[in-house]
Amino acid sequence: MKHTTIFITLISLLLVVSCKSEKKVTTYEDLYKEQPFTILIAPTQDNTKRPQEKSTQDRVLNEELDMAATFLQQSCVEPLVSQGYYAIPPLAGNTILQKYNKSYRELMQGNITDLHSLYGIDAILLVAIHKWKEPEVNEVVVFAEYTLRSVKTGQELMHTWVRGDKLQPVDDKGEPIELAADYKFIQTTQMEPRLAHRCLLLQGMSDFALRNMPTSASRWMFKQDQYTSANPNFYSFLMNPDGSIEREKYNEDAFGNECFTD
Amino acid sequence: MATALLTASCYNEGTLVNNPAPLLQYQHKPTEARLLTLAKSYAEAINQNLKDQVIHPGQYADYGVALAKLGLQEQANVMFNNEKTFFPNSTKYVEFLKRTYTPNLFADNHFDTSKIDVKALDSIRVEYTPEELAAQQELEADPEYQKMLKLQQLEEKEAKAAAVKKAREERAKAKKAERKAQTKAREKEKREKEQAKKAAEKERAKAKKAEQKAKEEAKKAERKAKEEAKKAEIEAKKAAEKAAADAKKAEQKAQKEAEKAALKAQKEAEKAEKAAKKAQKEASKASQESDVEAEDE
Repeated sequence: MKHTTIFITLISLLLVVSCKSEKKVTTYEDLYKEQPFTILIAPTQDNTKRPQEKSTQDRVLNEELDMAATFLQQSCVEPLVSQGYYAIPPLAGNTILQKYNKSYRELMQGNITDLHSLYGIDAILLVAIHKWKEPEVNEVVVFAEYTLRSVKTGQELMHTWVRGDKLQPVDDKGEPIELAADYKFIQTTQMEPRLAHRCLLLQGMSDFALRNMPTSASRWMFKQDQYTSANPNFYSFLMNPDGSIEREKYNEDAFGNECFTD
Repeated sequence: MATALLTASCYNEGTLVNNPAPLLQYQHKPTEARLLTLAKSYAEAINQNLKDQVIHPGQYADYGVALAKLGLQEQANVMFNNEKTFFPNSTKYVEFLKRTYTPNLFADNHFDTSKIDVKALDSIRVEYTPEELAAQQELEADPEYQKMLKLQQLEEKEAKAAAVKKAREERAKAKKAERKAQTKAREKEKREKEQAKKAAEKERAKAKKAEQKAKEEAKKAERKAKEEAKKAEIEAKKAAEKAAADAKKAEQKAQKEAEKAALKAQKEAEKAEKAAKKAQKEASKASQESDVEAEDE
């Protein structure tokens, strides 16, 4: 039920917000041609800068960022499956990649055709986190990158850079208040609220980025949505305190400046 | 069962795990205790999906990996085979998982998609890390946690009692509904029988009427045929008479024409006779004249 609601909200948002953006038939041209089905999700490449562990606070923060990065890989499974793809789950996927033994860079740029012949994989989804920011007490920002690479041809089937931003409502004293949905997530997972907010932001971003992909060729809807709008390559994704979502095209240079400079 | 589930899985994907925390915690710091929690989480999610008649891609494969890591090779192999059965595209990587985790059972393709007994996993003894033990002890010492546990147990008990009551009520309801349905079915059968009888009678009357009508129509047709035959006979007689009259007329005409021709021929013969006589006369006259002339000379 929860997934259906998120899906419907995202679809309607996509239709409303992105009237002038490029169509899927252009953005995902290679994906339509290749029609991948089995997708391996690689563990997250965490490029964020970490504080040296001088205090317990630093240790806690580092652990929190590690867990958030681990969660990003997990958060990609459901949106891919809902689009009709076969996403290899984390434990099985990590076993394959341990045996395959290639770095993130090699997976991103090298020849990986044997992933298809050995394991029947059609494409690999590479996710990276470049930076975390906390401009306000009730705000968390992340810069992430999603790349879907064909195993057969080595071509990039999708490449998106996202600036994610999650705002929490605050009370009269300026203290953050938990939204009902966030509270439910915290209760279920028993996570620390700060980690839970990072995870919720990553989950929202993965949902938004991957549910924009065309449905797999195994579904009857395949090619039905090819003239609907595709997400831009660079965009910002904002989760408002009222639970609504905003997406805006982002300038590539501005993204680079904000993401790769301190 | 498998086909039904596969069909259903096209419409709903279910969830890989109901709670993402166990997977996250295990991936972050893999310990046996966390692996066991994760295995239970997968088993619960699979059971939930079975109840909803959906299958999540990869769920059996990941659960199989967790079981294999816990030392339950046979069960793990069954889960790998389940994944292969439901998702044939996964064959290659599942076979790799089988070679890695259950090499002795590689050839065993037995699969079983029935409900998983989650409680059976409780019998597995795992080693807790000192950190986990300390955390557990700390948690158990916490009165709030104890309170929560008691509350949970109470809630579980209440839920169980409610479920039993509900099941009993539902059984009674079902029985009542069955009885009602049976009575209704009997009444319906009776009604249908009566209706069928009436319909048969109606049909019979209709058939009789149709038969009579057909007989009348046949008689009518016979009469008509007779009249038509008579008419045809009269017409034929008339035509024969007319033909005889015509023949007579033609004969008379021919006779007249023959008489005419005979008369004409007679006239012409007479004419020819006259001409011959005339010619004879002229010839005799001419010979007389030549005789006279010869005498004169």
